Amino acid sequence: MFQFIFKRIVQLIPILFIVSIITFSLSSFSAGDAARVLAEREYIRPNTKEIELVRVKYGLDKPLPVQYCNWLKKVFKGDFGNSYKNNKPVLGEMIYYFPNTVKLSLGAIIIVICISIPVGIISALKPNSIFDYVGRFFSFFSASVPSFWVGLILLYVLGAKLKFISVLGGRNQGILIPAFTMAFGMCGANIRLMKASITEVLNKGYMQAAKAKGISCIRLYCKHGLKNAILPILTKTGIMFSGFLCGASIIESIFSISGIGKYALDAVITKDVPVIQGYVMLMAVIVVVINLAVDILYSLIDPRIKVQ
Amino acid sequence: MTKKILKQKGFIIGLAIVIFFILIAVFAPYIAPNNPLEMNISCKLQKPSSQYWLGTDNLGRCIASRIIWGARSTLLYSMTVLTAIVIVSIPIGLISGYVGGRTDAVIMRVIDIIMAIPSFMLVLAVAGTLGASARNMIIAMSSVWWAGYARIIRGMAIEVKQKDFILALKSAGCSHVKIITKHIFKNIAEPIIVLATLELGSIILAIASFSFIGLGAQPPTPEWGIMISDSKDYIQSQPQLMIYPGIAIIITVIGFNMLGEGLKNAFGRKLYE
Repeated sequence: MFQFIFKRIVQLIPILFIVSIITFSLSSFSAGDAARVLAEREYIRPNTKEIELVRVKYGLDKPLPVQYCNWLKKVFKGDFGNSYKNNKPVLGEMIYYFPNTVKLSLGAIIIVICISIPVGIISALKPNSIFDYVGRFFSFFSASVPSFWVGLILLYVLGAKLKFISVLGGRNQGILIPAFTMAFGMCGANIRLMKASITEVLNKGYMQAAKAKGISCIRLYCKHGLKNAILPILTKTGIMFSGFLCGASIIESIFSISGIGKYALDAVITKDVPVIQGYVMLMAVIVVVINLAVDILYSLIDPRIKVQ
Repeated sequence: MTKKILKQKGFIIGLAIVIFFILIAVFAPYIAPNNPLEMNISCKLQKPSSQYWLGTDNLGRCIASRIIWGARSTLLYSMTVLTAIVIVSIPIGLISGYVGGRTDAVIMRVIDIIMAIPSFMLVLAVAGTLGASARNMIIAMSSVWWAGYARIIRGMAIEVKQKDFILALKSAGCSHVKIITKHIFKNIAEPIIVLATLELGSIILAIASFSFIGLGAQPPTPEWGIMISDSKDYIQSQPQLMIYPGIAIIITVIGFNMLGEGLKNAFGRKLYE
């Protein structure tokens, strides 16, 4: 077990290394001169000499590999630099905004699970019933509708027409509607996956054998059926969670939630490179860690995986 | 085969929608009643009329014309992304699957690494440093999305490689290049077309989302995502501004999805799962 986990952790190193190189090179690809931006913060109207002074001070005159090493050293200490906009440390800001995004994504995951698992199970047990048709229609439809549009429609119907929520968004607004918007697009795909997975397990020989032995219906479906069918869902949920965390910008900007996605989006508009770098690096680490956690969980439930 | 395809209702509907969409996109300059960029503040937010089929937006631009021209931008961007993905992924997938061994291992590691980067993050990063534009969005999207595709093509290539006729070709002295380009590629071309059709729907959705949050095409380009983004401030009083382009996106995506599903059912499911 430990060997398996250790092997998986070692595999993460090249991924994070490459992401860090991409992240670092963002600043050199950036259209503006970083030294000039930094100098403009220290002097009112920096001349060439002052810009060069700043360049030396921040080590921007050194060759790129040296700059990269220095940057990486700082990142390991949790220092992503300060935001160009308000000069606050990027890490502190991200930690401040991150919980809102996590709350939103977790809410969306819970909604997806609550809808897709029951619908998927019933559709698999009763194929070609009305329930199955509704499920199929919904999963097809939800995959074709842009989530931001669903959000705006909900905002219009529930906000502007029924006055349940504020159109302007803000603090007091619950996360239910934003989380539902986020979940909407993923529900369809998950219903499909759940149905396919259950149908496959139902046709397995061990299910027939268990049935023939005469065990109770609940035990048959819950212990033998669901446990085997849930595996693909687990992986998918992990991918979905990291997808929600990374894609939160859209929903956050529609519902004016001050999460990390909106923070990064605002940084894009002002070309706040340290913030973008910090965001990309943090999200990459989170995505990779979630994938690792899913793999470990998977191997705990299904020991066959470790062998492969 | 053709008979089997034409029997499916979903396929026919999807095909009709897609052809309609492509015709509109190609002949946009002749169909659109007005210039999509022409602003006329004096007749802003008007109701539908014979001159403005769907009324005007907050800057007095013709909504119908913007939607018609939007079809053109959507087709252009999505086809560019798809072409880039296909051009990159097919040779890499084929080589990785056919050659195998160390080459395969290296290519797969690279694919694993790229697939660990969410495409949204890369588009955001590129837009934030190089500036947001349709071109940058297309580059960023293509550079991540090819990986998943290459992996599927590799899987299919491995499957075909183990067939007896490949062995026969080898013993008959057929060169590797010829086997890859002619025989293996020919055998996986069908599923690639199906995958590409199914993928177009999600590419269109992604492009609209990126443009909506300002990371993709920039205003005043007539693009559906931008149109919805422009209508955000008028959500209380003028909901039709966001409803029309939204419906355009949904119908187009449904069209491509139905077409893809129809092709998938006709060609047999086995190959893609």
